[in-house]
Amino acid sequence: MTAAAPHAAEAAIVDVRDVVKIHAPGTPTEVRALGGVSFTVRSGEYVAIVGESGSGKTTLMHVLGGLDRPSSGDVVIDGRSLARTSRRELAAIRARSIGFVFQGFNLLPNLDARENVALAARYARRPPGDARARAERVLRDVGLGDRMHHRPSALSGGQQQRVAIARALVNEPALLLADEPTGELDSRTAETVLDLLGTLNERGQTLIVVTHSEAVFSRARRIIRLADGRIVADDAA
Amino acid sequence: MTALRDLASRPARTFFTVAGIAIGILALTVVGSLAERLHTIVARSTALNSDVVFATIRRSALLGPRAHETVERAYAKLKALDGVRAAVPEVIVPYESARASVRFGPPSLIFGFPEQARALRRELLVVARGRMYAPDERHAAVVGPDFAAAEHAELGGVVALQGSSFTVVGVLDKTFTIFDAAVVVPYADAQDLLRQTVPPTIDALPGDPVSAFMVVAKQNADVGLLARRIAFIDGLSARDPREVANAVKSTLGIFDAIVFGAALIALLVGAFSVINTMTIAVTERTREIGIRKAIGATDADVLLTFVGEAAMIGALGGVAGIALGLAVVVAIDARSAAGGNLQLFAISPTVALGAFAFAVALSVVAGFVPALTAARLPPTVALRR
Repeated sequence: MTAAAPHAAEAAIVDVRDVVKIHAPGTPTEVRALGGVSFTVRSGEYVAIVGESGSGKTTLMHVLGGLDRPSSGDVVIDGRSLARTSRRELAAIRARSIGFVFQGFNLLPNLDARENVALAARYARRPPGDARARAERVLRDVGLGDRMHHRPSALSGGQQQRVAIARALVNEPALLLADEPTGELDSRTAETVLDLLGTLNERGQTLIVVTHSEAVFSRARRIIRLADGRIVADDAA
Repeated sequence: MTALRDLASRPARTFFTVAGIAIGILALTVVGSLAERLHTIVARSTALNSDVVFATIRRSALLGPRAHETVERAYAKLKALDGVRAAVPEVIVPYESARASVRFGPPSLIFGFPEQARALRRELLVVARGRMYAPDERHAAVVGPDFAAAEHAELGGVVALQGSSFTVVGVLDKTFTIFDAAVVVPYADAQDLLRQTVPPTIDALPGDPVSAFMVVAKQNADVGLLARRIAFIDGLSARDPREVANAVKSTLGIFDAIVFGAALIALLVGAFSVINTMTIAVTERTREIGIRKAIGATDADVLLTFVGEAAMIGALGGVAGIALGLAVVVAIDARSAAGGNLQLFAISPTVALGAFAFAVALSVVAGFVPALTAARLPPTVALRR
């Protein structure tokens, strides 16, 4: 594993500034999930966020992805602060600047591969024709040119995850966020998906992977370790 | 199309929800068509008779001593009244069918008009098939379309009116008025038929008997005042046509309230089933909502997705309900027409489009709250399900 320090000349794609996240504040079930997390990810980095269950990595991913707001602090994605945006603007940032890849693929079962991918382009307010063309191009890029009209139920796990990756890439996001991307795949298929993610990073795609799998984080060039909501190790630091 | 596919993925639930709306729309289409027909009939009659007052000769005057003089005097006074453009006699005799079957609709009447009166009635006396009888012709009959159907009165055939035979020379166009079920015969024949209605104990009718006078008011004349003046003439009675129209409209208003109320209750039940279905859909698809939001859907996008599905349920239910409703009214009307009964329903684009729009709007309203719940779900909460 090589701990590659971000190149100083590369722009910061993600800037996490002293983020605190408290769940159910002021209630008996209050949980301090993140206790002042700060780091920066520059363009083209491949970062793995690792930690035990309950370390705060899923919460951090939600905050990074604009799915949740920090209780304090700020996250700046591609130059746009998430703390000071409306729900509508946050949705626009998720659509255009962030691509999500989930553990359970999370494809919509009633849509075929092309429609699943094109839906993300439509949410980025692209015209229907452009959305379809982009979806076809990106599906061909991930090797699914012959599976465009297959519904998720007609695809293997690896193919479904590749559709999910295509969906995440369709709007050419500044940041690709993957949550346990191989969690539901056998080791051989997992390798294929990780190879694909590696290739994307080599082409310049900024990638943050949240995982506890060594097979996944060993591919990253930088590892951020979380414990009890705090960064305990960042090998780029 | 996506909405349709999402609904198709749960066929049983979608079917029953759509059926709930369809039943309500079926009821609305049927009562809407019924109301449309009745309103058309009333509006037409009101428009045709807005400047007309019918002066009926009191039975006592017609059968009393020196009836002829009484009627002649009344007629003269009538014509001299201020505001009268024309006053023409009419003979109206009830038709007694030899058939046992009971007809639904206005009673069949036999009319006889002198030439002048027939000219005033020309809008209602359009011959669709055959011809109008000639001025000097006798024992010829022009029948209304409902009368022709009920009595099997074929063109060229013979009908028995109060025991006398009349040849059917023409069939009138359908006007949705009393003339659809009527028979029009030459004036002299109608007078003969009227004489036959007099009980044998009564000596005789006047030589030139009439049943009523059709009084046409001058333009801008007050028909209400005219009716009141006519009622003061010895031997005559008359009602203000506006009072008659208002009474009919008021009855029609009550009818509308009852039948539309019943249809709306049926639709309300359908709306509750839409709320139920959409609430279940939102609960079942919470994770999908989370996914949609994670890939960039705004609250409005999610709202539109679910409202779109509700609208689709309404559209499907609307189309099915209208189709079923039209099938019901066409079947009933075909049966009515074959029996010479009043055709009860008027199928109009207003009824069909109105019912469709109402079905969609109702479903959208019913689906809105569940859709709003979906739209407001925080993505992290939705993704955890």
